[in-house]
Amino acid sequence: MEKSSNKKNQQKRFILTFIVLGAAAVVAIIIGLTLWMSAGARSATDKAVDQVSRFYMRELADRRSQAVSGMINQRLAEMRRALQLITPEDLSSQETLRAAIGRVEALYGLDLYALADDENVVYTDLSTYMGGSRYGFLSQDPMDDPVISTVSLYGVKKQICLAIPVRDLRFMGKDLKACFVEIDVGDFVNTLAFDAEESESFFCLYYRNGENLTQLDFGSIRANENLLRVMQEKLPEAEWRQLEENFQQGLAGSAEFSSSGSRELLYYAPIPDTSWMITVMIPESLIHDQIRGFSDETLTRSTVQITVTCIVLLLYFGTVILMLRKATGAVLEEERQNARDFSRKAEESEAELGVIREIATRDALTSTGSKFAYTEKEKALNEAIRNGELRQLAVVVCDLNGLKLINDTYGHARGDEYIREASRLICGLYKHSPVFRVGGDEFVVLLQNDDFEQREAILEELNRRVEENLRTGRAVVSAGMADYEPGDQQVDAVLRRADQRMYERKKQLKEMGAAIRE
Amino acid sequence: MEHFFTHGHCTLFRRAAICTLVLGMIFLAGMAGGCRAFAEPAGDTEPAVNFNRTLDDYVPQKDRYNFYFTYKIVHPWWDAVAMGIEDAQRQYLDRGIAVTYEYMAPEKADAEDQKARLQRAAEGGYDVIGVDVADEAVISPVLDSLVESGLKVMTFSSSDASPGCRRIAYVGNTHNYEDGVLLTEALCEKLGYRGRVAVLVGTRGAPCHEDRAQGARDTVGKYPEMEIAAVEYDQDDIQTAYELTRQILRDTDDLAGIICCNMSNPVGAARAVAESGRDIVIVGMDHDREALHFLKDGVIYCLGVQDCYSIGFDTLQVAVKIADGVLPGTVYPEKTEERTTVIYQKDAETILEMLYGEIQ
Repeated sequence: MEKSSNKKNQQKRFILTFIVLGAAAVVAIIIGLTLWMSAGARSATDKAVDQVSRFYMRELADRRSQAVSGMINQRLAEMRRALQLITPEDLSSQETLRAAIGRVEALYGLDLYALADDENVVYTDLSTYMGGSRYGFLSQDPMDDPVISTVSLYGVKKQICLAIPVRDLRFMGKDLKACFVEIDVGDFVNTLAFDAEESESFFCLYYRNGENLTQLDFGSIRANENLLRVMQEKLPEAEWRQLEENFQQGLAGSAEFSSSGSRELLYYAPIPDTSWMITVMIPESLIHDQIRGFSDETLTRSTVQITVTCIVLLLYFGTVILMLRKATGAVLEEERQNARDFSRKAEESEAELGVIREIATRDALTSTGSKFAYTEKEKALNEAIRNGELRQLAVVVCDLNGLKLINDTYGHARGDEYIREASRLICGLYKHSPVFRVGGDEFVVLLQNDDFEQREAILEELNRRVEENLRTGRAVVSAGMADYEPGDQQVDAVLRRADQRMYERKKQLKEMGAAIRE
Repeated sequence: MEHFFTHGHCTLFRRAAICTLVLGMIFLAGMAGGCRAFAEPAGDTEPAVNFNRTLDDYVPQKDRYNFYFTYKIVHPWWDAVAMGIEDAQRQYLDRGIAVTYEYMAPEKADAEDQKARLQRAAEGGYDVIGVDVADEAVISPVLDSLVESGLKVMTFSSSDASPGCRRIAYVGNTHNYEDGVLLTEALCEKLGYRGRVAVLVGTRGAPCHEDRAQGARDTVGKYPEMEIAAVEYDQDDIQTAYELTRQILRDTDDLAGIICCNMSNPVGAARAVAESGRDIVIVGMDHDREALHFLKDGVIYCLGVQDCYSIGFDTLQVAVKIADGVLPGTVYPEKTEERTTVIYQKDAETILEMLYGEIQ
């Protein structure tokens, strides 16, 4: 039972340990996975930033490029419509032509609208001048397609020049061959809002040789700096070569470089139908911080999630453990209680057993040993004989005379008293030896210690008192004694000799006048 | 010098004026002043070209003017002058005064063409006719006849009419001879006052070119160990100047320098010299972009940059006054002198940026 209880306790400890370790393993796995995911998230974020940045700049550049192209195409369309407004009357004299040109300028809000003839004479609303050395497109003869160019003469602010061919118009005997407008670059750029204050992204227009067309600063690159020269100092050789080639070929591309300790992203693309390149530049941190903000928020949420999960798990498993402990404690307490009850019961049982044993081994009438007790004792003595451990033993068999007669004459109560008296007699003499009532009227005494040494004397005293009792009518006991002899295998052999001698004494007493009370 | 004093075109008035100017130049040069100024960033000294011009206080009497201007040849130099005219025109327009004009020239310098243009312009009803004289001998009489017919005539930009011409006023370079002298002095000093040099004049008969060439000749003539090996006329054409220079280089093995008297021939000469790889000192005039690059690279030694912008700006202002009938005097001088600035290699990038917005 105790073993079963220990086994159960071990099992419970094992389960508890398993639960705790399991919980710890789960928490460790969750934390590990989250950290791994965090590292991956950051790497993915950086890649996302790069992709988004390039996409963003590409979109910005495309939009701006479309805006530039749109403006140009709108102007070209206006110029064509304006040509249709010129009547033959307008072409009748210089004054009427100037007036017509003035009306066109007012109608479309142009600073300069001009016509050129096949001798490169330019007609504006206020002047007529030779344009061959001022405008390169006038050298095309004939001019078939629109020409988009810039004009930079002698320190005057750069002008964007849009020219379209003219057909079937004559003035002062000469064919008109071109119509063009000049747009101040600054006004052009303002319309495109390239220079928005507090903007974190920068735009610019460059020629393919890297010269700034807009005369605006481009982020950290000043307006009067050549973009390609600047980039040559900021980019590795191979990347700069690619940039230069792309510019020359009018191809889109991108580059990253460091400026004043921060990373800048540059994207460039050609403006259709021009020799210009639109450039966009943003600091890497612009988008990086935006996305990093989301990424950090996600990571924070993950961290919170992990923390909450860990706390919940800890609380949960802690509660489970406590509950288990409590339950286990209860069980243990129950087990202890059971053990205590068991012990108590065992003690009670032991006591009962003792009582039972006492009952089993004690004659209730005489309080001498019972037959059961004699049997147990006999077994022990026989074991001692077999083991050669028995040295001395004497057995006295005592038998009451006349018990039946008394029972029959006076009743069993008087008979029981007779037996008790005899028992007192025997026990009073054999004070140091166990006395067993082995029958209704039979007693066996196993002499030991002083009684064995005084056995002859005691037997003689017993016989004397018995003979005296014959006269007084008190208990008459026939006793016979035998000693253990070396050849005796068992106590029974000694008992039989003692019993024989008891019978001889009984005869002797009978002859002395003991009543036959059997 | 002797040649100069016996030159057919020299009059007593001109001799006196030139002598006075030469003496004045020597004095001023010693004072580190006058025309020999370097192009400096704005704020330190006056720039070679002043783009920050505003109209003077004169109040025009009309709200509309119409002018005719003609010049030697279609050429970027006169396009630069036009920038000044256009700016003045814009400022007049801001004041509510409409100034219209024609600004015409032939593709090739031709005095007869200019003469014909002037004669046509005489019928055009213009308030003022302005001319950059292609050939003072041919054009000066035409101008006189226009004045006699009641027209108001002025000269402008690089070349005035002959002394005594009845044109009303001149706006432009009044010191072409001195410019030639200055440039040639710089070249002679560079060469250590020895060696053989060539002169590329420009357009035959063009007063400014001829005056500069004369200044060059006179200067070289001062130094016994120097000699003029060749004098050629490129007619203000770069390609012609290039080919002439190549020929000179072939013909003159020991050529040490070239004096270029207009805007085109420094470019042609520099191309030819650069190709040859020979070490030859080139001096020239004006602000051609390619010439400025040659200056930056050291192929050209120095350039005399005229303030073309101011020439054009002042021409229109003077034309308005002339149209109002105001004669030269206190309101404006008979000759409005426009400055020339000699620039060297170290000034090239500044001028390139200033004139062409070019950053190196």
